[in-house]
Amino acid sequence: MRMINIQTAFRDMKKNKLFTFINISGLAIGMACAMLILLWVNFELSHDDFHINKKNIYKVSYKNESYYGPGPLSAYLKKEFPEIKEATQFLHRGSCKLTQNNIGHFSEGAFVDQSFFDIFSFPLIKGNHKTLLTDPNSIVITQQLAKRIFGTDDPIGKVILIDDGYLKKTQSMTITGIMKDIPVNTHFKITGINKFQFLIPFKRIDKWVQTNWKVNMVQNYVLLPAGIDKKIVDQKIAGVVTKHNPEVKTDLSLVPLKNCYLYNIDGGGRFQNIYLFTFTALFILMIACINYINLSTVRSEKWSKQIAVKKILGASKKNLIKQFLIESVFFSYISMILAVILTIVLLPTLNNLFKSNIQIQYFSFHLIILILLPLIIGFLAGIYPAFILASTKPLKILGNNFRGHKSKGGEFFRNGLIIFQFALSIIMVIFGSIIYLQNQHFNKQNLGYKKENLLVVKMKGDLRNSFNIVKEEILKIRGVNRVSYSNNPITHRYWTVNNLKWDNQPEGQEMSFGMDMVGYDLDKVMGIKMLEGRFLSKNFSTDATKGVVINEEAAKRMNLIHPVGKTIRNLQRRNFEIIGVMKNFHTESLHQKIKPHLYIYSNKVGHYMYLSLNPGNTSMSELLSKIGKKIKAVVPTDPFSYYFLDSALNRLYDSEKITGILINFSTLITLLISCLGLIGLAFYTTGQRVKEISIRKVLGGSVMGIVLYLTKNIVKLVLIANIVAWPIAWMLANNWLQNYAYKINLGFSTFLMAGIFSFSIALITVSYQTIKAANINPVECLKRV
Amino acid sequence: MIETKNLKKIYTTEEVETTALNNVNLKVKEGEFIAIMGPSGCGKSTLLNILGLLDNPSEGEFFFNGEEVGGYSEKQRTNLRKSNIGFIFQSFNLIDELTVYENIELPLLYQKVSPAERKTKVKAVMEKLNILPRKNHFPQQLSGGQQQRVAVARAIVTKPKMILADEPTGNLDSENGDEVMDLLTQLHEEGTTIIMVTHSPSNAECAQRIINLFDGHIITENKKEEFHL
Repeated sequence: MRMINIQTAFRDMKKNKLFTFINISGLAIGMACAMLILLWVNFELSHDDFHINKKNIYKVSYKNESYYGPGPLSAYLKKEFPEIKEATQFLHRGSCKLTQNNIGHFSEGAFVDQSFFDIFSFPLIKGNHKTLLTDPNSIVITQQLAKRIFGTDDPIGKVILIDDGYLKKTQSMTITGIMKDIPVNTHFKITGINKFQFLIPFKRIDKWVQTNWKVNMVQNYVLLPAGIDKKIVDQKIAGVVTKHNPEVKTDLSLVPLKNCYLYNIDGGGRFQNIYLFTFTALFILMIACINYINLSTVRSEKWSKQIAVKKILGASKKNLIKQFLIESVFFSYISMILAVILTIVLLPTLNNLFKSNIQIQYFSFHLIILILLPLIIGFLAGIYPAFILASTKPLKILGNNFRGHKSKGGEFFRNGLIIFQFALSIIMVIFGSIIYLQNQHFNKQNLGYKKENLLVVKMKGDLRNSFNIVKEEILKIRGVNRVSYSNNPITHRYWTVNNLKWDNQPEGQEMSFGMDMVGYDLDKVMGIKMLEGRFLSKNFSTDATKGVVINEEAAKRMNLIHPVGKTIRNLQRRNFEIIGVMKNFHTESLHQKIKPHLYIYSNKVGHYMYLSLNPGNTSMSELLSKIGKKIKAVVPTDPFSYYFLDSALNRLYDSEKITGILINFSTLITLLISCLGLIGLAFYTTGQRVKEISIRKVLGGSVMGIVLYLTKNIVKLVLIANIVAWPIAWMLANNWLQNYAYKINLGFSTFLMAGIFSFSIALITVSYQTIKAANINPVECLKRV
Repeated sequence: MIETKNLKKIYTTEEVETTALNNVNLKVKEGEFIAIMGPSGCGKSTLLNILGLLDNPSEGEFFFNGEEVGGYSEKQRTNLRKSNIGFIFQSFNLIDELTVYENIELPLLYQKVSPAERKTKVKAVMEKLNILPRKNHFPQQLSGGQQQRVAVARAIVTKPKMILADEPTGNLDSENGDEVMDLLTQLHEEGTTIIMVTHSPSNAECAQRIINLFDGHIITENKKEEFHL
């Protein structure tokens, strides 16, 4: 019985090629798109899943504000609270220079302690898990770094020289372990794509970082025993920092490991994307199902004879429903096979785009999805047509004038589904355009400084020591305008300071400032305007010891009308005098409002050299090679490692880029599937109306008149779809834009454009069939009828 | 086998009410061969629908094998129909997507007959009707006469007690038409009850009794010996 149903389905597919093509391609594209999206969602959700203790690991945060806390915090938490099984800290240490055999290699690393390995499960290739970092001179490196430095040699026990800002001077460390490369799906991503490639003992860091409760620069993690309620621990630890530093008013709270990636305090809104795209995937599948439903019901005339005969021969309604469901599930499985092929073909592109390593795991729950999804889709797509068709009355067939049934209800339902399809497409077009416009807005936004032609060179020991010579040499190159440095990248708010006191400070006002230690004239390198006073300058000897420059936002929030000359106390346990106010500029992504920030002079050369370039007639690569040569001439052992500020800035908007790509891709697919459906419907409905068209023509209807008459319905449907879609799109877009501190205004024109676009695409889609039908020779088709 | 009492069928649309059958009283004995004649629109097909358990009467009683079935649900009618009645149509009504073999097999499938038994039965009936060489052909590949033979084979494969034939020769030339009539006569001789709607007086001649319908009434009933042709 089942065999014959599948056989019939197969023959029917061969006979009705258009129907088959539209249904299978629509379902396959829809399924492939949904699978890709869901694989991506699954990848996002899989972040940090590889830690055995994942359910009990928490990150310590200042409630919804910051993940960066004081250095002694985790040791204190472990000691004082029996509820905390284990605690550790993680201090990212930007780019460091590792030297072996006089060859330097730059690599990102972090300070952690031995308990880091007790909490997290980074797989180890070599070394003793229990004693990796117990020795203060030990270092653990990743497989990739080991290969880079040592090639095929065994690095265990080898000594490596490491130079970083905090270790005071170059230190020799002994390699005690090799880790597998850090998986892509972990929240331990530092600035965008960088991950740590080596780990060194936290106790090697400056004592003041280890013991100071006032500097927040360390990320702290705790492991709770299974079954302990996080809320209870939250209550107990809430005031720990305040106890040591009464000026801190913000409570501590624990953030589950899972949320560290998904709910990024620093902005990005990954979780929203996950919601957004899960729904998008479902919508795309729905739209593909709708095509099947619409085309099946509209084809009922063709099937009615078969149904009636079968009913007369004794088929029950159940038999027939089963037949149609088997057929739709069969369609669905064929589509799934194609969808899997499409997914396999497209997956590398997706991985490339999202810097991920998503794979289909055939022997996991993915397989269950591959088996179950077509069943569900086939069932959902087939159930309504099956009921409608199986309910056909076999009566009129005996009269030999059988013409299929045209139920008003069926048409109403079909129209409803077309409206639904188009409304979804329109929503996605509007939403996609708004994301695009917002991204454009980002690109055009005045950041408050000149991001073009700004080169950032990473500096370590030798280069830092020789900075002044290098600077002098570099400035001789035509095309290099100015040179300065900073301890941290200017485009990231790494350090914050609290508890500052200043003149005229309102009673009880407490605020945190971002802080950077920089070189002279950085304002001119960056092209930042001064509102008042001056920037740190070597012409004023006191600037180096007690000069501080604040930004406009700080001045406003500090309630200072003329800040220059006022004193800020308790900064690095000293008093500073405000010498200038910088016009606001963005130190973070545009998700964030500009926050108070201050800059003081660092007599120690920072890790980042900033160069403003003006290549003029020379090419940028030529200029870069000249700079590289000058640096090599002074410090031959250091690699020349640099990036352009604008490309680093772009990385802050990776999330937007991904959203934009996914939304545009999904919109395209939605439109494609909807249009496929319309083509099919136009084919069958105009086919059914051939007689009507012929009679109209015989009675004097013009081709144009008939085309208009036939398209009237689709125009009506798309109009209703627009009316439905606009408010929903408006709400969604408005909600999404709330994530941005600097956002576009929702203009009516976007909606109008989407409306016009939807009309055009619908009309173009149905035009071929309609014009063909309107040009039919009435004599011929009246004969046929 | 069949008895109707004051059978009435009224079709109602939004504005019009049409009485298709009015007070039809009819008795058909087991093994009888009956022809129903009458002009277009007289209610022949409606009567056949009701007798074939495809539709319910609006009023009156309808006994099938002594049981009142006028108020049966669709499911009950389907069950009764599939084991008792075979249909033959003017336009054959074979399923284009199925082969000759599969078309004939279909009613057996709905009766849940085992595969082995199906095979034997289908083969036997195909041999009987001389269509075995065509078993893998699709209906479109056959002539009208061949198609109708397949339709007859499909109607009799379940060995129904009664066959309803709706103008079985209407789309056939006289030679093929005669062949089909011979088949029906043969079936009748083997004991099957046959009710046939026809326009052709020569076909009607094969029947034992002719019922003339006009405007939903039975106007005359002639036994074979009373035929005045």
